[in-house]
Amino acid sequence: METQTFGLLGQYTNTFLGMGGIAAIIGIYFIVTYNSIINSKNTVNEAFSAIDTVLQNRYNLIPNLVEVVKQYMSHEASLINKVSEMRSQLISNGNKWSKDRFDGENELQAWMKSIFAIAENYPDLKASNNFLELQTQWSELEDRLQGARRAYNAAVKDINNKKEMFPSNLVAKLITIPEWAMFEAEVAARVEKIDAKSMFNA
Amino acid sequence: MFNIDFASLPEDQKKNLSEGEIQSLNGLFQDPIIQKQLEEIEEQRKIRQKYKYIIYGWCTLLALFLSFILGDGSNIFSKLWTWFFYAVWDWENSFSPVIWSTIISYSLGIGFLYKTFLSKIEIPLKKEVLQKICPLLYSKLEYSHDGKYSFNELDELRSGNFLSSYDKIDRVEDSTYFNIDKDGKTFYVNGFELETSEIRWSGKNRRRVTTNHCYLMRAYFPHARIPLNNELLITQDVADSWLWNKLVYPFLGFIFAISIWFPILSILIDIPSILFLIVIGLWIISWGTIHYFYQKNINTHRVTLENIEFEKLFDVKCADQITSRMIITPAFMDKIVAFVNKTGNQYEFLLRDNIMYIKRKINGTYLEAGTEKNMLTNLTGFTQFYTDMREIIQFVYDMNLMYLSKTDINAQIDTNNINNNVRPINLEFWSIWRWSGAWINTILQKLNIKFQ
Repeated sequence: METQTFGLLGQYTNTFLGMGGIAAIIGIYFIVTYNSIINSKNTVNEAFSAIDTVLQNRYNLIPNLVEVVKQYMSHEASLINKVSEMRSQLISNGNKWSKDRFDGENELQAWMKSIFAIAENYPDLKASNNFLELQTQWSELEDRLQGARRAYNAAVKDINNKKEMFPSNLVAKLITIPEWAMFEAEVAARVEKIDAKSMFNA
Repeated sequence: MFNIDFASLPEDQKKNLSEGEIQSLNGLFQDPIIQKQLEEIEEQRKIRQKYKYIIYGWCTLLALFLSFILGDGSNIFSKLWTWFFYAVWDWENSFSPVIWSTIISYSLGIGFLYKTFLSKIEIPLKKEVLQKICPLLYSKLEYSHDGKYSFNELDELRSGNFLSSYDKIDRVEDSTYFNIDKDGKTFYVNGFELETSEIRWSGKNRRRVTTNHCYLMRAYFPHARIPLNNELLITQDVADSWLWNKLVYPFLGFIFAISIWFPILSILIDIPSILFLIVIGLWIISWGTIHYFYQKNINTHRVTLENIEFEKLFDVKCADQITSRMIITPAFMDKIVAFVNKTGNQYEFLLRDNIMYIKRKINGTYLEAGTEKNMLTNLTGFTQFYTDMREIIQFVYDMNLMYLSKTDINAQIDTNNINNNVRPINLEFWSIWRWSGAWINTILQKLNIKFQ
């Protein structure tokens, strides 16, 4: 069979075609992976915003809760004041991503738990419809916060995989990706262990 | 006396039955009505066993006969028949009408014999047994053979992903219904057996094959703490499946590439030096395209979870990433994994609003006798059904704990209309029209067109 030639490429046709094909495949892979990493990065930010929104809702709920509790638990003024004070501090904290903020959030959560625990000793408060409704809302917000944190963890895991696994890590090196920490179970466990009485007496 | 002993089942099949349950089930099959039915079944089976060889023989003769009529005279059967008709019988002139009338009457005869002796034995044993088994499973469990407790959303579910393979329905029966009271609140569960089938030809034999068979249950939690507006679908895991990832869709990709590009390749076939590169290049591009869209489809609304065992078993999809995680808590995942491991069966779940749908796959039939089906085979399927139903009841009961609100504040849904959701379903004999209708309905829904 007569050998086919293609203009200037001549006898190197196959080599050029092969190299061009490989370059095209690498290029397509690069574009897809790059977009995928950017997508993951935005997903992490979105997931974090969801956490932030729930926390904002929690801040909004606290004054109502404090008002109701004050009416029945006048002896627990220091505890109630502490919660209000912590809320103000957290709202004024400008750095949303700081570790201090999340430590503060966990502490606030623990204080709120202690309020609900102590409320068990006040039958009138327990019977109050307002208090029950606020307690339910708080409980729902806590569930939503857990859900948002798990969604955030999943998003962080996804981008960490892309950052560390071959060959996507080669593309990830070209993009500035911050180090995002995950919410760990230890934090929740630690919060659970806080003794409400000792906090109250402190 | 037809003696059935569940203790004689193989160990792996009776492992989920307690001693008490084995005794109860044995006692159930000693019921006089059931005993009579079992004896009738055995009697009919013996008759059918005798006649089946006659039918098989007739079928063989018919096949040979047809091979002559339809053959081109080159195969051995055609030659034999040619010799028989032309050399021995000399039917050259009167061949056609005689042959065809013989074939027709012969076929009718086979059909009659098949219908009489080889079709399913129509004795309502299953109905009788299930009616009696329900109180053993749970005191409030009600049973209806004719699908009385099926529910309205079936058509809607079929247009979604959960029941998409049930495009036409051939059987809706053996429905069950129960409610559970817990902490002063009630929730409701109803379910039914659902089957689709299609006609398949193997050689010249036409047979109806069951394509999808499941028990579909609907657990309604009126007091659910977390009503879900988006659908939360928990399906069998395919994303991490070795079969899919390493075999099925690379193969599909390859076939796709060849089928799409083959006409072009045939034009380029006189350029052999670059043929290989072109084929490889096109294959990679096609495979990559399929891979990309397949992954995109899998990952759309996918909810990844922390429980490794759960992730191995299921894929979770929901548009609301946070609410789905509020419902699928670690405890929820543990419960589902324990439930699936205990039953050893395939399950899929759909959660929407305050309702959880549970789809239990059924392999084969149970308590349906046929010529070749003995009672032990039936008992195996039945035992699986019994233990699965027991576990489903327990599972739904446990789910109650997670779904119920701690207070009454969120109980906003009116429960008075619950019984309106229960209705009989008509079987769809002209299912092809139904199937077409379902597609048109789906398109109209997408286009938001409604008929008054």
